[in-house]
Amino acid sequence: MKTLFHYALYILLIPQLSLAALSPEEIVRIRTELREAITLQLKNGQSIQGFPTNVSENTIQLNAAEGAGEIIYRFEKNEILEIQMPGESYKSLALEWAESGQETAALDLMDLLYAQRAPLISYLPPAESNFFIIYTQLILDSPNPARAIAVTERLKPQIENTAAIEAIDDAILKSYHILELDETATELAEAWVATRNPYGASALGYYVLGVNRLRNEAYEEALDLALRPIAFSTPLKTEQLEHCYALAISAAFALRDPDYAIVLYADMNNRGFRWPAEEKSLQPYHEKLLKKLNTDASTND
Amino acid sequence: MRSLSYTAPRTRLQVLRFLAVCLLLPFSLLAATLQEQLDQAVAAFTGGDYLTAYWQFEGIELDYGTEPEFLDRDFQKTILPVRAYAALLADRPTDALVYFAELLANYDTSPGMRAFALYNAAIAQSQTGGNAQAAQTFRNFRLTFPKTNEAALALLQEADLLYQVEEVAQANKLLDTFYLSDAPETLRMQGRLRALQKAGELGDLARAQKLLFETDWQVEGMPDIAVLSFAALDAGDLFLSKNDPINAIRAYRLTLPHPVLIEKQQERLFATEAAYETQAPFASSIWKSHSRQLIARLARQLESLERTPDYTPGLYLRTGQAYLLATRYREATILFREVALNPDFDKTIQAEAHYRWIIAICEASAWEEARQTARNFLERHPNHELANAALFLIARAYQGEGDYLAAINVLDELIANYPNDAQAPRWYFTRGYNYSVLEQQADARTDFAYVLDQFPKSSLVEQAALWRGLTYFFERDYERSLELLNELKSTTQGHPLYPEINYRIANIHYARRDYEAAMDQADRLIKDFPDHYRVPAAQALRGDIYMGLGELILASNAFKKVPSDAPQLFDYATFQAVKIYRALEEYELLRDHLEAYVDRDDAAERPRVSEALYWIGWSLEEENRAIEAFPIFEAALERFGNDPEARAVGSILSAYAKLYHKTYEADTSPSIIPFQTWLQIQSEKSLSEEQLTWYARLILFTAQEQRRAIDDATAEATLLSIHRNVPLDDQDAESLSAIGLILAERGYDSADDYFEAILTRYPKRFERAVAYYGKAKLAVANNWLTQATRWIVSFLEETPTHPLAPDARLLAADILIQQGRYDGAIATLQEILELKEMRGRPHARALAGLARIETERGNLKPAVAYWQRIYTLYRAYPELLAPAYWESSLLFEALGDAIAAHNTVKEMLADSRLSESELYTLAEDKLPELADAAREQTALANAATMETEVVQ
Repeated sequence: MKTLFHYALYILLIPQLSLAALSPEEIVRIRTELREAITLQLKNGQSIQGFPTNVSENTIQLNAAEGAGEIIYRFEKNEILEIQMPGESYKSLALEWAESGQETAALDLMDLLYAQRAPLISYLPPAESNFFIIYTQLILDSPNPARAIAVTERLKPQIENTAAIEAIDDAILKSYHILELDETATELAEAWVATRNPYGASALGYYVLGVNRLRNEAYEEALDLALRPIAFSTPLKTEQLEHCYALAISAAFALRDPDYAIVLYADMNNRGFRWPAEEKSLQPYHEKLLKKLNTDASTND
Repeated sequence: MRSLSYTAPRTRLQVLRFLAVCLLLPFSLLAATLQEQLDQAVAAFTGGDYLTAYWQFEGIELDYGTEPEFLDRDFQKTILPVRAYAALLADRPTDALVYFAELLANYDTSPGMRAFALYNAAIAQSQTGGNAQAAQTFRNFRLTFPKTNEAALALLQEADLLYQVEEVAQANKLLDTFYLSDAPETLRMQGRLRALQKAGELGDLARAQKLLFETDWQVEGMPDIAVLSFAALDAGDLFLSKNDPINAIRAYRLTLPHPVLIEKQQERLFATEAAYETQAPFASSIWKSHSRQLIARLARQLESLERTPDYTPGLYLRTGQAYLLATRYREATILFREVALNPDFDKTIQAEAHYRWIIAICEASAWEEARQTARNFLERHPNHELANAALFLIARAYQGEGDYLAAINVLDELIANYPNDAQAPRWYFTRGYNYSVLEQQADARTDFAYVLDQFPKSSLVEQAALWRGLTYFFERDYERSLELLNELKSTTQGHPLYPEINYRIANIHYARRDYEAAMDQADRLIKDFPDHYRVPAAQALRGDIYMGLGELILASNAFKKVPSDAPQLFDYATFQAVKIYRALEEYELLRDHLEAYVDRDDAAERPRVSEALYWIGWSLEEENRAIEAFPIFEAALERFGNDPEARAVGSILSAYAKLYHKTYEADTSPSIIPFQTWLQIQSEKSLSEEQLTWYARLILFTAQEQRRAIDDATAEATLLSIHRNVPLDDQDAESLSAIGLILAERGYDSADDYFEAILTRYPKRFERAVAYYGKAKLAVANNWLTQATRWIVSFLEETPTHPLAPDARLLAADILIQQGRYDGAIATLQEILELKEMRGRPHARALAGLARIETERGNLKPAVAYWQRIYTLYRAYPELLAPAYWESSLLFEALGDAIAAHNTVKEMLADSRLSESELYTLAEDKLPELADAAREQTALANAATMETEVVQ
């Protein structure tokens, strides 16, 4: 029945693409399902179904129906082998939506899943937290990115895998940067730069720290930070590399080296990167760049 | 793309089961030995013992080859593919080929079996050395079974075989087409990599470049990422060796660092194994064989990678080198720095990288940073063989900064400590050069001579000889200079310096006024080395020589030959020709010449356009045709007036104004309005029409007139209307400079916007001097003395001849005084006093500065002497006289000479020009007190005199 509902939902939502959000009825229905009892598999082999009512760092309280009444269980964390949550298949659906560009619906669904699982997140395997990294990305891209900070802070302690830790760190840093909480963003970016390789999968830290330096008129430092991932770039995709190009071009203009800015711009273009429109502090430099390109073009004509 | 599927024989086991069933039943009555031998063959095959299986099948044929059961077509049709395959895997390709050929030629098999036989027959052919036939068989295969994965594999095999038979063009074409096909991505990437490797092997750089850079490498999923990495590394090296750093950088970017490559290779191996596990049950034996080979290859590559020493630092060094050659010093610096400071890398390579890091910084002319980095090298690698070279780079950094003495000190150290170093000739030569720049020609000569005497085989010998000769030239000892350079010339034919030596000799002849010899040398240089960079200078020299000879027409023709792509020489030659036309009163020629100059496409960039226009107007005036100059000026103003990038519009306006005034005075026609009215109308019109650059220029001109005719305050008030009405982007360099300076003088931080605009939009214009000076002034006001010093240094290094130079030097002295560096300040001020071009107000201000320093140091008498020099020698500058008198009187008072103090104040108050000074009022207030003190001192003096007389 539940599977049928998933398919029905899937079929219904596909044509509405990314703009589609879940309807109130669908939300109610999914939420109801997600609120069903969970199952605790205990290390002693027992299996208990019930509703978690009080979850603390080391104990979990489960209210289980017993005839007409109710029994309240309390388990220590080390007694629990596994927790089975209802609605597991929604995770695949949410991922599928996110990957197929239906971000709004995916975000709605992940909101519900997160609300269901967040209280128990420290009891769930790290993979559960890894799953929610994509949730933070969806929040960051949504009109209300501020929530990402809270979500990432909650998920981070549960994550063990290095790549996943880096992904969550990136999400946290990105959150602070997008929200223009510069002081924290700068501190995080400094730590980021100190621990990561310039040829890694992301250049976010260099970019955030570089933007901070640019704003503080430390142009040389901004340029050096932006150029590091560029100089070490590999054929593998590096997130925010195009941002670093834009930052480097901006710093070159700030250092009154427009010719070098043009060299970097040509390089950026050859690599198929486009100027990131969302970074407001780089906009004046983008205008300078366009002006310089126009001037050069008319001179050549 | 689909996969071939066929029922027989899908796997070795299936083949054998099939065989067992087929072979057992019909022949059960045959001798048990055939069955036994078949069983043994099957068992051997199953166990992977193909050689035994092969011999078992051979034995069967030997024993039963003539039996009808053996010759039965069904039996043969069943046994042949297995027998052939066993032979192939037992390294008996010739036999395998016979069996596959028989099967294909004489039996009607299923498509799957046919594909199996054809593909393996091709392999057998290739193993027997029949590469061309094998290629043809693979070709037949893919044509027979098109749009299958196996066809794609066959194509890769075919291309490989074509390369082996040296059908390179055909193989290339095949792989190029394959890349564009809809075959599986991993296979297309494999094909592309093969093509790339082959291009590299064949040294076909153009094709390697095309393949490397025009392929959309799907690196996130391609299994052979290691192959790409190494192929790209090789290609990068090739580009670097061919001096093509841009493409080298692009190639190196396709190479993964060693740890990343290992990690990715592991991921790819796991992914390929997982894919194999998933696909195996449904895949053909060809595909599975390919997959197994791929897995084995990836595993081998991984193993090899793990054993290979980390090539990453080498990769970064080479990438850094490519960036260095591409003049992208910042990226080069970053790469070298990473290797130099990474403790995981080998110490030797760290040192190498550190050394290149210094070079990269030197190339970027970041001299101070270069020196620090070089010192850091010496600390970290004190005994390294490059330590001396690092020390030399420190000297070079000092030289780059213009601190020639410091450079000499470092070179002294090098020479003293390592006299036998291989680089010693370079150190001596460089020290000599630095001495020469410091005009210590004798010392310079000693070093050049040392190179010549002690290192006769050095590559620097010719340069040392040239410079030794030039030191005499700089001392005006032309005879000796000529003698040495002629001697050098006779031994350097074919040397790259030879044209330079000729040019220098021509110059010496010219300096000696031996015009004929000078001309001969210049002519020969132009004829023999028409592409040499000295040719434009030689052309200009020819013009000067003819001028020296009084051959003015010839001189003008010579100047006209100076090419315009040497802008400074071209401008010089243009105006030298103008001088000639003026002297010859050839006004028509003058105008033609200058009109051609003004009409050039790059006229707006020419610094002397206004001068050209002025002389055009002047020539018309000389011919009593002043009225004709109007349209020329007007057209120029129309053309450039509102263009903020155009130069010298202010000068054109001045020339126009002068002409206008003259014409107005001569013309009584009421239709002509006075120039001031014209200026007023134009200003208002330009403002209302938002021709703001033109407006700013008109206002600037108005202010200049007011400064001359009224006073500075009025002029400055006028100028500020530009600040109010014209955005920075619409102002030209002159206007930005004028307004920025006023704002800075008044202490407004908004001046910095003007200076920033100058440095950003006009970084190479002479007006940048104003920005440097203004920024220094603002920095001093904020007590940022280090920053202020930096701006002043920029000013003095880049624009030392700007009219603000005295102010900049005085400001430098002020900074030094504020820093308590009195000796430096005194040296700076004394330098001003030694410069003839700074006579007048700058000298007076320098004296004031010296007086203040001496006062600060408690040397009151010398201080008084400086102030006295001001009010004695510089009476034309009232604004400087008042403080000179006032400070002088205070010093006299402090020295206890009340009479002198009183007399000084009295003299000050006698000059009515000083009455507007605040100090004048103070002096008035002070006078009675000083008068009393003077009287008292006089009385005492008189009494003392009387006492003396009485005693006597």
